[in-house]
Amino acid sequence: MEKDVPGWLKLDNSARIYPMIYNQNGQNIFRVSCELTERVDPVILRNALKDILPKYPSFNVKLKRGVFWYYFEENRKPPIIFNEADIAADKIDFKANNDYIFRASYYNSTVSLDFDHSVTDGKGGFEFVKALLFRYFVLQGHDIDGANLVRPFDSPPDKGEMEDSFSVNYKPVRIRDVRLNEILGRRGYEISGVPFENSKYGLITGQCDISAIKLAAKKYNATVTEYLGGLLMYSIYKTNYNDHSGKRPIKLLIPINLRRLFGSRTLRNFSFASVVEAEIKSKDITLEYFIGEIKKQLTKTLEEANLRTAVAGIVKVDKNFLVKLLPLPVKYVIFRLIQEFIWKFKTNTAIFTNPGIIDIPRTMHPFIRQLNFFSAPVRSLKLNCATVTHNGEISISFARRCKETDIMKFFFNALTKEGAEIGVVSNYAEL
Amino acid sequence: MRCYNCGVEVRGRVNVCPLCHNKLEEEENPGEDVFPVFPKGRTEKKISFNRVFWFVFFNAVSICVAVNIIFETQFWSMIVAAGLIYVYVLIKNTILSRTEISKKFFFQTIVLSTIFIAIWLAFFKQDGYNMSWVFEYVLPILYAVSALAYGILIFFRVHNFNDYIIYELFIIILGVMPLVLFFCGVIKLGIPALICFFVCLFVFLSNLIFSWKFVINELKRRFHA
Repeated sequence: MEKDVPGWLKLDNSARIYPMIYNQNGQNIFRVSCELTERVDPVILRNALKDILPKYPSFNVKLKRGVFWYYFEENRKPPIIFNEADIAADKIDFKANNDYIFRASYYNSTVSLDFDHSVTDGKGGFEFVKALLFRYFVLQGHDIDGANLVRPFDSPPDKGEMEDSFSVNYKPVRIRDVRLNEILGRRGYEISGVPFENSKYGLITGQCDISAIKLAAKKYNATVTEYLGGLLMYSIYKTNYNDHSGKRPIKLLIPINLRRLFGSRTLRNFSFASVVEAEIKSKDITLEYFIGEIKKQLTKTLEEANLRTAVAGIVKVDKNFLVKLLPLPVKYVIFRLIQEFIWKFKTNTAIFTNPGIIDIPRTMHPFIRQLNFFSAPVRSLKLNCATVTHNGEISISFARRCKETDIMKFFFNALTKEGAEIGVVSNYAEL
Repeated sequence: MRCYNCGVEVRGRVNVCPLCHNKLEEEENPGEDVFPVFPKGRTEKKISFNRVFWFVFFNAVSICVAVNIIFETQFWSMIVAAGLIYVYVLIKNTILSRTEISKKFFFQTIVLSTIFIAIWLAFFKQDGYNMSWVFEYVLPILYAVSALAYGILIFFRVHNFNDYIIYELFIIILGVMPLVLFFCGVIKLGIPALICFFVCLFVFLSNLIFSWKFVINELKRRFHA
């Protein structure tokens, strides 16, 4: 019987604050979804999820409250597959979801997984979805090959996938080397518009060939991330900034995947949110200016020394003796106060995420039409833009808190002018 | 469907361009929706249990307090307030709530003892009332029953039993209190307190002997820093 002692996991260093900011701004959820070529069979999907969960212990968890921190405990309840029409991008109701912190759902031919950010980040989410779909296709009777891109089903759980890479890669720094003010930046411009009622949010996804985007980016001598990020800033400037009299900069939050840099293969959080600020000094700012700013500031953040200090800064807070010993309710209050009185004055204008190309085994390609990625907007961050590329097709998703669509209209119009052939879908929340 | 205004291809069953909101020409085969259409305005419940309860609570208690003051009787309105709060906890946190049973059970124990202590506080100073029964009978019985229940559930490894451990330990600590009060001379009758102490000791020892690994593991998690 002693063997039954259930496993548990500490939350990783960057995830520790997520559960404390649940109520205020809504959950920090992001969605990874995959459009298949055929209708989804929920029974097979459920079996596939049930099969792979024990192989990915960091997802097979529920959130528990300890005396000092939250922690994950092994979840032994069966996972649930929801019909998307019943939940409609709502918050994850943990109780209704058998305590799982991610939620699986399907709609017509789309499989969606909503992850709470305390479990994993975008890259980890995609790895999990890949494993899920691989198992799904196998259970459907397709003969497919993982080709080193998906861990074989009968392999035991991988320790490296469960590690807290923040702690592993932590090298002590002096607290004064962590320039928090520089990391957080100034207070950014907030997008204005008519908000949706309740917890509704609008979603627009555009899909096109990546080569068209690459060609356009090349014109500006930029990468896809720099180009699209710049275009997003430019769209905000052109459509939303005009009637704004203040002098706040347009500020973009760009999460950076740290796995490659630190040689980690963890499936838990391991990304760093870098901030790009573009001052609006004159009245006729061009797209080149925004792209240039992103390029300049991202290169600076990506310098290894800078990243290492930033990572160390995240860990440093948790390693602090005082922070450790404050009971959870006290921490909760303190984080709330910080959120209310400090973060509020560090608002970002929008998030732009690009986890890049997702490597999916070639034998799975015939069954997958498109990957999608977006994160739900929170109250303070009214616009989230996330892109993902699969099989030469890029999908650009906007999730927004305001009814207006002019930013997206401007953005996609600019892309069509560059020669991209764009297909658009929407959840029409504004109608 | 194509939106000639925006130059984009629109997929889905709604024949409106998501970008410029112009009407589009309907196609014969529009294809499937990728997202479900958002449910139109879910309305919030205007009359919730919370509102009704607190409305009744404040009215009832203020009437009772007023009657109390006018007729200069004993302060029985406190019992009414305590009773109503218990009803609230019973409905809200035990019947309606979806939290784990272990937590509900713990909460009930704590709230019940708090209410009895509150009643004791309201009356013990007044002549003609011997309020020591709260500590002599009620609390020892409450803690003994509670500790025993937790002990049995853990012993038989019921579903999620490791959740129970932390609550059980807390109840055991509380269960020692009546005996401490007896030795301090606060209460006169010591038998229920003694029985409660031995029940708690028995439960604690059975935990140590049969489930110590679980107990250690649970404490490690709950107290990790």
